[in-house]
Amino acid sequence: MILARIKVIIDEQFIYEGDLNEQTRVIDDLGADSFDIPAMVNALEDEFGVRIRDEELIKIRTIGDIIKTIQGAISLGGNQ
Amino acid sequence: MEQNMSIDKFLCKSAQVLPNKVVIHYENEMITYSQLDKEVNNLAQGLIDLGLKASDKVAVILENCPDFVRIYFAILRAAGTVVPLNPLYKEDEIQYIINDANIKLLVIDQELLPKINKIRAVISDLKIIVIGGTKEKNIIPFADLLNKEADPVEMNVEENDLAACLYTSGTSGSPKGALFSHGNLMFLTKACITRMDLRIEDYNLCVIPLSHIFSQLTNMLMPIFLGGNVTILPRFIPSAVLNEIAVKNISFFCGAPAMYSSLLAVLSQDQNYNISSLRICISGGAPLPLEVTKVFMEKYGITLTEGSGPTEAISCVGRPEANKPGSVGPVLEGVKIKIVNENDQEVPQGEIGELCVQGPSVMQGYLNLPEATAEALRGGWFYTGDLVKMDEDGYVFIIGRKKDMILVGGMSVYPSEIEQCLSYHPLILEAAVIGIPDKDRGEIAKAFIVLKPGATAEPKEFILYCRKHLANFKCPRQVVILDSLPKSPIGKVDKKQLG
Repeated sequence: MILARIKVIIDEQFIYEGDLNEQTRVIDDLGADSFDIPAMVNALEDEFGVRIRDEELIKIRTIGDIIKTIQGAISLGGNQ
Repeated sequence: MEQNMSIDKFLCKSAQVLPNKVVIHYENEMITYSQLDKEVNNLAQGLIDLGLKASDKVAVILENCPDFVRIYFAILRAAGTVVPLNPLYKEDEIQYIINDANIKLLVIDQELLPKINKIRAVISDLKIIVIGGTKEKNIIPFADLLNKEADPVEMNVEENDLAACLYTSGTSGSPKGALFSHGNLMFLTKACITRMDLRIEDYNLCVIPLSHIFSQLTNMLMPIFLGGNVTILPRFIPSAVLNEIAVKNISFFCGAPAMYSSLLAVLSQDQNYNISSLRICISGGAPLPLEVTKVFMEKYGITLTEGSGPTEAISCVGRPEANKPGSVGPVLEGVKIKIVNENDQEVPQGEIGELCVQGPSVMQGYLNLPEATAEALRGGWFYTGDLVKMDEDGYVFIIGRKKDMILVGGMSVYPSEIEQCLSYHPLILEAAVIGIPDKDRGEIAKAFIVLKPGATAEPKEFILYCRKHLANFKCPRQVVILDSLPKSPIGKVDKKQLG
């Protein structure tokens, strides 16, 4: 469910090959640069009603990392 | 000729004078000068034990982290030459450089290992030192070298010995290795400290990639020379940068223009960040929009100072205390510049011409490229390709570029490199690439493609193709498929008609 909602955001912002899954790498597979990532995170925060902390953001490498970060933020009541 | 002129002496001296001072903050890690000096020594001995000889080149592919600083100084202490590569490079780009520079030792983070699988198979004698816990066959753990106690390593290094080989995008399509001596880096460090007014009590924040000379100079060599300190962030995340500035009382910050624009965008939405500790802000890599300079000054009382250079010849840096918005400042003390017309004659003051640089900031030449070196360094002057004019006070203003180059978020990208990549695609007959404005990055690449007769394809396919072979920042973000490209009467692609 979370992956499907993330996919909508990713599809709007990036061009990539194959299916989006937990192993998809944000930089190598999506082609993101340092200017794409803040825009992606803003959209994710709006979609899930959470706040992703900078320390978590720096560690994100894959879609799986994004899912875990969002799950963590949701379980903390919206503030990772 | 002076002896023992290694850049590494900066670190040794600061470690003697300020052994317990913290030099690097990174996440929860705090590294003192004495610790860094000792670790650098262990690593230097480890490299020598692996067979490193004077002037051998060692490639380093790391994101911003303390290990970059450790290995950079260790290579120099062992009298080797550092070849820092952008971690965003793709396997083809890395392989080209490893072959071109005859690299036998590579330092890489374990996360980037998949990028060099093909290279490992092809270059069997490449020794790979890996940061992280990977326990693979034929991999040398970085930690083994770091933790093995060694006696002080003392190598005799002269001013003209090579210290760094810095790869830049090439006009001819392939990256070129610009060679810098210890003397070059020593000069640039001292000249920029004076011009930028960096002080021992300043707190630096390192965000721009340490693989770039601008970052090596401002975030590593300059603070370590002075005995200062630097906080390293692995990536540019505007809110993280603003938070670090507030928490660590950062006073010295260097970034690309696009970074300053992004910081302003976040500041305009959230007034709670305190950036009043910023004393010196330097912008480089691309022209800084006047509007950004104006807002920083009027709203926050902060002067944004610009510097210029291609990697090969840093020449001008603004004076923070006497800044002129829109100017990249006067020439550094000890460096000469001239501005010439098409006939190589100096133009009168105030007129536009090409900026040429001479002096100790200019590279020694390009690795393995005598013809390109001779072309770039005609008559002892480096021809920058920047079209500039100078005012009556000696301040230089960049007006345009003579070379066909795109500046993406502060990184130089030559369309020829992208065009060459596209030319290998089996469906493409011809391609032309231009730079178009982008609100976040300054410029982005846009490709115009003509397909071979009978071929059909979606533009997306070519973006993905480039991404397999080129670093993301070089890849076109827009692709247009045309029936033909506009040509001049002599058959050359007329890019002005594509703009």
